[in-house]
Amino acid sequence: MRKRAALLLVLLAVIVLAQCLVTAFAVFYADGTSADSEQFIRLRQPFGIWIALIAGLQTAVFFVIYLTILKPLNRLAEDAKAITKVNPSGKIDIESAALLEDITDACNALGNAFLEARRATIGTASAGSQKTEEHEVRLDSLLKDLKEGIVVCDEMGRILRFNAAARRIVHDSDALRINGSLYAICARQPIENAIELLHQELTRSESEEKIDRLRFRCSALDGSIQLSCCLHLLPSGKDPSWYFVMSFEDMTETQTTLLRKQISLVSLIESMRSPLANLRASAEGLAAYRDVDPQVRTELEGIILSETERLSNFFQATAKEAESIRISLWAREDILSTDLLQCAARHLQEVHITLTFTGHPLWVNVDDNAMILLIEFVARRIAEHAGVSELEVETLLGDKRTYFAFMWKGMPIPEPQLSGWSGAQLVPYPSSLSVADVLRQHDSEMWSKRHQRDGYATLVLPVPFSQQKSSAPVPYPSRPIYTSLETFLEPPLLDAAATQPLSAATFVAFDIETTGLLPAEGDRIVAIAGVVMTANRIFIGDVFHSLVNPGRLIPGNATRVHGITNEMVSGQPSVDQVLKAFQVFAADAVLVGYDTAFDMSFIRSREAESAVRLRNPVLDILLLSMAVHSHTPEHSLDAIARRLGIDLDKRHTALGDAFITAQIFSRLLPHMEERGIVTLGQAYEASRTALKANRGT
Amino acid sequence: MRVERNRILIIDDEPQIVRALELLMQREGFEVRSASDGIEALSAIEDGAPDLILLDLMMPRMDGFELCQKIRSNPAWKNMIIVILTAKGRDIEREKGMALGADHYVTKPFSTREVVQLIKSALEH
Repeated sequence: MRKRAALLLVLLAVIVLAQCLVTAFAVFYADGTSADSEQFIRLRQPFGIWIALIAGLQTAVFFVIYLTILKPLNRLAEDAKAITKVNPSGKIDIESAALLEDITDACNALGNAFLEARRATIGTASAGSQKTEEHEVRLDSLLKDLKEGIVVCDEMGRILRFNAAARRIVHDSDALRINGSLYAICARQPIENAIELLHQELTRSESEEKIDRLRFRCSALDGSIQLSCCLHLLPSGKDPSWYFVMSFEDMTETQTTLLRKQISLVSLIESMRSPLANLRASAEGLAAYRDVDPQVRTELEGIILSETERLSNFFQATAKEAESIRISLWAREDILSTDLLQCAARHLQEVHITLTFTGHPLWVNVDDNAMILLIEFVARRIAEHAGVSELEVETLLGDKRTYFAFMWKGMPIPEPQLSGWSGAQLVPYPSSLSVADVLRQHDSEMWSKRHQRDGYATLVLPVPFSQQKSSAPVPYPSRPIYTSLETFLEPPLLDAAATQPLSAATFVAFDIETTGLLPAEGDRIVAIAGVVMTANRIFIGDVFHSLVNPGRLIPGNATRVHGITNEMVSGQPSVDQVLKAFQVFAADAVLVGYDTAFDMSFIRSREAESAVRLRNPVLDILLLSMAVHSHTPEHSLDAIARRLGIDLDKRHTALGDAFITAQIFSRLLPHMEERGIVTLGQAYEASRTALKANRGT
Repeated sequence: MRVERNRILIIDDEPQIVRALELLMQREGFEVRSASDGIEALSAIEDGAPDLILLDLMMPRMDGFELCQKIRSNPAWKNMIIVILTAKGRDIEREKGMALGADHYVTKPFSTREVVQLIKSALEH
């Protein structure tokens, strides 16, 4: 088009030029003629002027046409091109194009329609501004280069964006498409669990340690691919209120080969133990008893020979297996025990099982999805086994692990039944995740036995500690909060005691130190201390303090907490003797302690075998603090003492803690009075209410 | 008067180790019987409760954990000393064994001298 216009211009210019030339030639020719030339000139002069006039007129007309039509048309063409290629939101605006106004308007309308159509095609209704478009272009080019698959979804799991790697990992499945559901590709439930856990994290207060992403395993395309995923929540600031980004890698091969190798290595090592034991026993038998008769001697030598050969073969196989093994990295994450339990409890509610939990929130290192599934599974099976719909889980802290101890009224689960669970699948076919898989993954085993509480049974599920979050020495008190209703149910408070005003009562603030956290597992008391007090006064001269010989070794980590060593307790009286003396000391005073369920569980565990029956009413400053300071979740002994302005110089000994307990209690009393808690019965009631309100937090 | 406690029951499905332990314990003056799995052991115990059992964990029919649980659920056998001798060497397995009522947990391979010492001191207390 442009060429033709240029050609036309040149042609016009040539015509005008030719007319001028003809005129000029005519004038020049007339000058060189004969005598009558003057007459000719006279005749010709007006003719030359006419020609010049016509030529000038033509040139003027040409310029007018050029300025009003040709030039604007040219600009119109340029603008239209710019709109198409560079700036879709641009406008055609030509000042001197009055003649072409209609055409300009029509072109602008066309441009607008084009812009609309383009936006609709991109499908980003929200991406109206150019800025968003730029961001998206940049994001796409970033995602393109990642080797991890990335999908961005809205809260319903609708896919908003994905990258090339994601497509590759799911083997170009057609299910992976914009606006398609992520759950058409990946298992729904691990993703929803992760989202649920992260939402829980978001609701926690600012000051606490938080996690903002979760790793988990998840199977895709009907179990044919195992993915290692990492999920983040993204607030969007508008509706829907959040998105999530999931990055993932294909773990199918790594995982199956690792698992296979791990299993075969463990079984190889195990199969070496027996021949080794036989060998050693036979050899030692030979060495120790020189006078053994020849027949036995030949028999033992035969054992040595055959077992040595067996052992060598096993060794070869193990060495080969060990060579090929690679580092195993299970998708385990640090997470708070209470978050896991809360999540499981919510799911169990759907099958009408109530799971309540006690104990301090502790960081554990687990595959959260697998562990939630296992907790749910165990709870369901226990409920079935015992015919109950209410279960309690206590989170306990041990030397090497954290323990989820399920407790119910009824009998323990027999071992063969328990081991029969190991093959049970936790996820529906075709994916596979068995109870045994989850236990192996967490280097765990379960067991069930009678609970220390009469008529109750327990199932213990040990889980690994968090490596990072608890690598620093656990600050004292390191034990979990034991608070349970038991303390208040037995002994029941007598009516006469219930109406007793606190201002007239005698109290004994007390504390114990122990070898560990689990009386039922053989942990014992190593020290008991108490101090007599009333509402107005602490009798610092009237104290009880005794070390106790626990009849077993005190583990080093317990000694680190309370400073009591094995040497210190050797020659000390037994726990039964000391408890008897403490019973005399306490007489009919009200016992006051911190998290008394812990202390009382140790004291009660001795009742069966000793004559001690501590039936004094018990008040717990942990619960009383929760009752009067319900605005804060901080109720560790240290936090309470700090809040009430009490020095913490004598911490870590039974007597020191008993004194601190006494001081805390005496300063809590005025706060209790303000809230109308003035009798023992009211203190019990307030504690019970606080316990219910704080359960599981 | 103190009754002498010297009756031992060895429970293991590996005949080799049963033979070696039997020999060793007899030499040390113990009264020894043996069983090759939990069910056999249970009937042996019912015939006459031993003072101490040496118990393997992995056995056919009834394994060691189950036998442990069964023994500990009968108050008549509460003084019976349970020593687990096993190829299961993981920490958590030891913990489970102790939790289910074992008094001692020894992993294979073990020193027979140490096991004899352990048995003697356990029976003396």
